[in-house]
Amino acid sequence: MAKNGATLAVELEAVSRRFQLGDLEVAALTDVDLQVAAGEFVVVLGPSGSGKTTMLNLIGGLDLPTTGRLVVDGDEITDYGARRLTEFRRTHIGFVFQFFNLIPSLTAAENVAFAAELVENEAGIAQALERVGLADRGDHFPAQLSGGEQQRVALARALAKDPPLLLCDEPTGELDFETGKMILGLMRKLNQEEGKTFMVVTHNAAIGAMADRVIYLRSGRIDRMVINDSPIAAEEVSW
Amino acid sequence: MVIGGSLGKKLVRDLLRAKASFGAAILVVLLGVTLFGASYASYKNLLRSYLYSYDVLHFADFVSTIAGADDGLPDRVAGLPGAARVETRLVGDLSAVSPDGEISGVVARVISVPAPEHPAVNDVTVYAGEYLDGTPGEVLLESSFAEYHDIAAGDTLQVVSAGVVVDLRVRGLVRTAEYMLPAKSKQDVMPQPKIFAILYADYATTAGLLQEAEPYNQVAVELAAGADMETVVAALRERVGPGVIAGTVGQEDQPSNAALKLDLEGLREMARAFPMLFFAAAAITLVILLGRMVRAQTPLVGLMRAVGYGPRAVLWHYTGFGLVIGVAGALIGSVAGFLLGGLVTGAYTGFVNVPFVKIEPEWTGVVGGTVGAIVVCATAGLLPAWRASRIRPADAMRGDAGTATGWSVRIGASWPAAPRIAVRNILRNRMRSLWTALGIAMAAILVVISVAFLDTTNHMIDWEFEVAMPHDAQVTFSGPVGTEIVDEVRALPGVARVEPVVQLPVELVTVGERYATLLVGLPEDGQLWNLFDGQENRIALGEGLLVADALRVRLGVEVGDEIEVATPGYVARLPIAGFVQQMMGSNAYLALPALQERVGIGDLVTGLLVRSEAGQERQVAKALERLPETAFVSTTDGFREMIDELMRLFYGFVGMMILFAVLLAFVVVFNTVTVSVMERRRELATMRMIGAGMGRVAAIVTIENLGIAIVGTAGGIAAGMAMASPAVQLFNSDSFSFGKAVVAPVTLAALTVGLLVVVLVSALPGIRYVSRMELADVARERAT
Repeated sequence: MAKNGATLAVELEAVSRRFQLGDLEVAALTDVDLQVAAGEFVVVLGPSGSGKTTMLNLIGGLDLPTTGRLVVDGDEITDYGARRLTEFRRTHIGFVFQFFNLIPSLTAAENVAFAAELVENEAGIAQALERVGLADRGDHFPAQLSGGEQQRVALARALAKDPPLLLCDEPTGELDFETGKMILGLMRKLNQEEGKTFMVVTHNAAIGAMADRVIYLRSGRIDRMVINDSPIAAEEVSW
Repeated sequence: MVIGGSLGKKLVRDLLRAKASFGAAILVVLLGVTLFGASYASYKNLLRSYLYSYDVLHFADFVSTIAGADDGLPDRVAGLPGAARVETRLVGDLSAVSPDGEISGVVARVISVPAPEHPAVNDVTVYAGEYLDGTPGEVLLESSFAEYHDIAAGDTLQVVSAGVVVDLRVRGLVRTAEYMLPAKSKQDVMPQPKIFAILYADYATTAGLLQEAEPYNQVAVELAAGADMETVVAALRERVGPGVIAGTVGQEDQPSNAALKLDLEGLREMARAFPMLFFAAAAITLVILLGRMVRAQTPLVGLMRAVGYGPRAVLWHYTGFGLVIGVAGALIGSVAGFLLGGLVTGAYTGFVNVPFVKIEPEWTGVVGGTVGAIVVCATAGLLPAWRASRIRPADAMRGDAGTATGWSVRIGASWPAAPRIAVRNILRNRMRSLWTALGIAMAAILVVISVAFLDTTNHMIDWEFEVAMPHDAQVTFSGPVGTEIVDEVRALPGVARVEPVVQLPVELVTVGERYATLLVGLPEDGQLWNLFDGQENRIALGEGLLVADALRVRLGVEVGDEIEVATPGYVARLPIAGFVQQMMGSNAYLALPALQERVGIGDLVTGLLVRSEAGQERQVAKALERLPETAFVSTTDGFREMIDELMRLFYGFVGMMILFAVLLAFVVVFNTVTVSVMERRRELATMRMIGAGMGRVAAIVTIENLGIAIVGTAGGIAAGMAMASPAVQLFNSDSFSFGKAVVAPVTLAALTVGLLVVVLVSALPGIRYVSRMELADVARERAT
């Protein structure tokens, strides 16, 4: 379901993903149909093992569905080979992870450059850091930054390629309450001011209150979806 | 992509973060390249120097021993077809008096040369004093004896001729092509500068000293360009008449040249084999190091892929580590090898008295070592890099919880926690355990093989002197002597046992192969020269011929084959009854009565083996030298002393080898164990977080490492022992043979303890790191 008249950022048609674990076949995602409009801020909620991360990996081109059809930003990626998936991730997707996944041997600016130079957008490094409020912390190594700052660097890294779609996997999972809210606020700001589409996977139900739409996953299926007509500001979120 | 950009910065900083491990890997490569460069440059420089010296001094292409020659020999061999130059000469051995008077058993070889003109073949170069001018009683002395005993031109040297001490004035000191390495004979190639003097005298002086029945006994020939040796020998045989040539030794078999060739081959093998060992160790270290780095950085690999880096970028990035290590090690190593090569050549040419030294830059070795190291390291880096590039992004993001499956996760359920966890850890990550054990085994193999050279040589020398040849002196007579000499010598004061011996220069002939050696006749019930097979079982003499084991391959013969034994006036076909393990030289043996009967020399003997009463060795040797029949006396003491001195050089060489091996072993073990502990520091810190004391953590790590180390050490020692014999026997020739490799139990015990200590020490940095780790940082590290 998309916002009225808006371009679709993500479209899943009967998407399933099954894993083979020894003799056991595990269905991580089963027959999922989903549409996400460009510029939408979507929160995906569900307990552990419900398929949240699997769905995010599929949309981000880190993995391919076992069956079904997957269109992201107008490109059907279902049948993409490894090379085209790499190109797709490079130009379309920004990832933000729970554990930040910064490269410890690179400074904040170099971590951002790590992504920026892939799209030859070195000029965007300083701008990306500025957008997350870390313009003066570019020379610091991850170990010299707080958790919130590290996550902001991760966000800047994702923004450096200027992707239309940002996929965030438990972005506040490792952060304290205030820092978490600050990151969420930043993400929402980027969504609203720059029109970036955000899909945020979390098990923190409180975050749903700030989303345009909340998708509930259970046992690899969409349990329900709730459209939030009046999302609250990130600062008002409480858990 | 390898060096530039963010990935390049990451590569450089990752290298710096693990500088101890990568530095050690660079050190291994560096040592390999250094050794290759040095040994290859030495090999080429020595070869160049030898060939130049041979050329300038007209080193003979072959020397034929002549029996029954007359004064007309020089005229008969003049203008020999196929020969560029010919020299007839008289050569013989005498006893000499040691200049310091402290040792007995000094042998002087006297060689006739023309004077005042130089010989046409086997010329000498005078480096102190002057060449001979025909003054009677003057000699030229070869440099090795002169330098050993500090003899200068103008000094006097004493020899014993027909039982009389004769003074000779040393007119000049010389270096030669024929005696670059002062080896007595092909059967006795060990250089003996202390007890073997080579003198060049004019013909009249030589003849007066040797008092031989025949005026000449050698013809030395330098071949014309393109001439074939066999054809020229046949022409010589025609010129001198049938049965006159007792044997011919080609340049290839000439004692000094053969020994030098053996050394050169050793250097060449070292240039090949040792760097290979180092490169193999570097490759194993890199595979372990980078494999674990890739494993530890799996989430980062996932990130790279998620951000948009392709598999090729990942492949290049991790291959870059191997490449950087290869380039760094190769560049430093090639410079070090280049410099060391010059030093080794200088030291070696000094040791063997090369007349003309030619040292030139050897760029092939430098380039070869550099390219080899880079290729090996890049290839070693490729394997883990390829694995990294093949990781599926989604899997990489998930991380790895290990591969605990099956029986291994339940093993030791009733054991105390520390050993249970340690054993399960070993089995949980079997590849990690296997690589660590492999690294330790590799180190053990290196050390065992290196030590085997030392222990085997020591064992063989002890065996040779104490078991195989338990005599104190060997007398060689000027000509055959009746057996009454045995009783005469037995009656000398201090003599405990005397046994007769016959030694005849012969040629062993098979289809397409002739080998000049000594046929030795020994008493069947003798005790002073004992023969053994390769398993150190005594072999009894009988009717058949016993032949040194080294000739089995050289002549292509087996037990039961008949072989032709030829000497002037005697040719027979004898069956081979067995093969004898002989450390130096390759003789043929027959029971004394059988030899005397077959050659038709009645009960004549050519020498004696003498054992003295304790403390009487020198007096007995002096008395033996004064016998009128004596040509020269070799004493076991003198020889053993000489060998021990030479062994010091060998110990130095092997010591270096062992040092390199131990260093290599340390690097391999240190790297594998350090990485093994460091990569699990989070896991170990987690143990601490949940309340385990450092003692328990250290116990778990120690038990785990010791378990792997014991398996690796045991496997390495077993493999090393299996490889030791083939390894030492690589250096075998018909002049020097290693038997079965021996590694003393005490060496094995020391090696085992040493390796286990290295393993324990290697675990210390990781354990210290864990003990000092701020537990709060564990979470942070996980977060990054």
